[in-house]
Amino acid sequence: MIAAENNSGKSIAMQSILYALGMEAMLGPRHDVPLPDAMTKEIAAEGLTEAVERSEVWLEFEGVDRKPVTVTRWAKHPTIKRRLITAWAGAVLTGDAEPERRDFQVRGQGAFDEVIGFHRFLADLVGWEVPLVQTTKAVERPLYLEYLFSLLFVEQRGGWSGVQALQPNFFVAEARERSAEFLLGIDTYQRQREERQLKSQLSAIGNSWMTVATQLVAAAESRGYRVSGVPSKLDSGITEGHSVQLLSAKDRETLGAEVKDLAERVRVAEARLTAPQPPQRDTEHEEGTLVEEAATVAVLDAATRSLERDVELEAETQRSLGRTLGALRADLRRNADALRVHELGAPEWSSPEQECPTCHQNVTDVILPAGDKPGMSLKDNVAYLNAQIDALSLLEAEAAEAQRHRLLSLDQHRRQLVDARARLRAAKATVLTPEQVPSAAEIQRALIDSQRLRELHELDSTVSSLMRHLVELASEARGIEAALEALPATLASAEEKSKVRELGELVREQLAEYGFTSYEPAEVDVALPLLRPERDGTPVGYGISASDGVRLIWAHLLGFAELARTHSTRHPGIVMFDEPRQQSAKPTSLAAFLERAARAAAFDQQVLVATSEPEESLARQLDGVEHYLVGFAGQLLKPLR
Amino acid sequence: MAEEQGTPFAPDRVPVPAALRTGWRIPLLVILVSRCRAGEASWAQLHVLSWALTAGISEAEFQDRLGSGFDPWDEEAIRIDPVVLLSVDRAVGAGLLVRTRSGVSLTSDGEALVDRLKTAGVFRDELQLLNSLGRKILKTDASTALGVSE
Repeated sequence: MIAAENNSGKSIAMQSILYALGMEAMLGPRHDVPLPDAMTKEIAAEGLTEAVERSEVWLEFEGVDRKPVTVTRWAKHPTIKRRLITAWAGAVLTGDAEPERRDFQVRGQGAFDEVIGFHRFLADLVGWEVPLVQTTKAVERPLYLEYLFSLLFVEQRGGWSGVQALQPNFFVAEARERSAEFLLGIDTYQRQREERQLKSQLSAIGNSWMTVATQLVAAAESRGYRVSGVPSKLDSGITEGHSVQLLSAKDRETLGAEVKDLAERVRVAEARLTAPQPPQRDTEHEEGTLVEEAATVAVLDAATRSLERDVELEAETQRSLGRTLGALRADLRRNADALRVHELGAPEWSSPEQECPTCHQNVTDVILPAGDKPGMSLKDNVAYLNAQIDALSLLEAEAAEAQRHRLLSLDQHRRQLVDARARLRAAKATVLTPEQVPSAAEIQRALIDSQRLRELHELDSTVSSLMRHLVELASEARGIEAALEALPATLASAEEKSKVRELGELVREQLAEYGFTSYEPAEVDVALPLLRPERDGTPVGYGISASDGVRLIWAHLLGFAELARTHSTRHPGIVMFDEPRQQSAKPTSLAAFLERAARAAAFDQQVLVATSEPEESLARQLDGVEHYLVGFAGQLLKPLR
Repeated sequence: MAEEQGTPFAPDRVPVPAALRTGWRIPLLVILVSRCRAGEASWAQLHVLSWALTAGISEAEFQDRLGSGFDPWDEEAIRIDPVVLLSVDRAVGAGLLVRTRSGVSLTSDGEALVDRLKTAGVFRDELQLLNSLGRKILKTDASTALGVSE
């Protein structure tokens, strides 16, 4: 306890702790030095007033390993910036040795820099692995220590206006909840974050899958083949050896069969054409071939034109279907608007059954009835239109798929026609060529077959490569699905729920001891996700007396510290209150608070209190309470002697 | 026979396009009239603007139609729509519009309805087209498009 009269410098001592640790951002957006003019402008002592040239703050503390650390930071200096904090690995204030020193920086994102960030250093000392959290600007940032300090330090001026009243403006979303979860050792947010990240990775894999599957289908279709066995959407069950079939659109022949057939034809043709003696020509056969090729061209030409007409007809049908769907959707929007207008206030003129205001006959909401049958109600009309749209959309999708196959077939026919015309030209040339020369038709056929064989080998290679990629994606997806499956079914574990329940009990117990009277302490609870005192699901704050608001802050912060005695949490074991007797809280309440706070010593925890309670009153309140009192008369800041 | 047995029968109800319902037409009419100068629309303006909003065309197509004048042989010409006249009757009966010498104008109830419709999030496509047209559709333009004299 630091006890002294008002304006003697107790708050300077308390806020120096904040300043030495670089926590001034929790006090306001301007991040001003939280120290009075006596530390930064001018100081009055022993009747003299002097300008402040330099002032600094020194703080000695222990980390989680119980080793002392000393830090110093300038509050005012002509050249050294406020961002600098110097740390010694030892007790410089109370010890003799000159331990190793390091310089760090504080304020802004630099505070968490891996090498020179002071808050990174401080977090390591306290044993905190600070998590990344979402900001309101949709990026992740560390859970800055200033947020955590709102549960460890209550500053005199603004800190008593509510639970976790002082918050820095670093745009962390739901900062109070994240800080409370972290100190209590509740990792629901991190589990949610992990789940979000895993789902995001799975979604990215799904998108990659669709891209690769589309490429595979496009590669096959460009060579006149249809693919079966490749799911268009991610299927994590696909493994090495998954069977994929490529069938030619026209003949339903497999790729393997066509490759085998072509390879044999090419082999035979090459053998014939490269033989030392020119092959014997059969002119009768060649003339027969000419007639056959001409007939083939004619048949293919007719089939191609017929297909082209079918494709055009189907395209027109699809355009008409599109127009019908467009009209149905427009009518659906209008029906929805009419329904909304009716719901605005059910005006008479929008009702299905109305009375004509002039002749008082019954009329309906249909302006121009078509026939004798009555019209549907608006809601039935909407349902009818939705059903029509669903049915026609299905037809549209099926028609599009059928058209795609038709186009594929047309493409193949056109290629076959091109090949057939080439063979016909070659057959004509062959008939006109002298007998000693190999026939042009045979050479042409060999060239075409050879080219086709190369294309199909490339296709086979492309399909294999893309399938390997899909198998890899499926394997990655399986890993992520297993990780998702391993996540706990509920966000909070049984232990975490137990912590929250006990925190609520500790808060209620203290409120009763401190004389909370705005309503029954039993009505106050602490629950996820807020982790702040609440009543009937609403945070406690408004509607209670100002002194009860102060009691609530005592109970909440001490509750966190007390919970650490029986559960594993991340609480550092220190809480600091600057002038806890706010709003004229009763002396008996303060006595109960001090008695409760004093129990910290038995658990190797520390509660710092700065108070201006009169000496006599304080002595009564501390009677029988274990404490360490530092009192001083006059001003804390004095000239050195 | 079924009636003798007391079995109730009801005729099938048929779907009705929203453009033929008072719940759609009347609000559209008051919105149209509110966009005309001084809250008063001529008959020609009513028919031309109603046609534009029910045909579901773009602003460019509409301006093109308006500029090309009236051609009775054009199957897609802007025409006088009896549904507009019947809707006006109903709107007048509901106290939302009142007949003037050359058309219709809004009543105070009609103005109140327009205000409520503005915040209801309805007629988005129609309002978008009206906003793009601004107040460019003069009475004379509308009359010319319909092939009538004002």
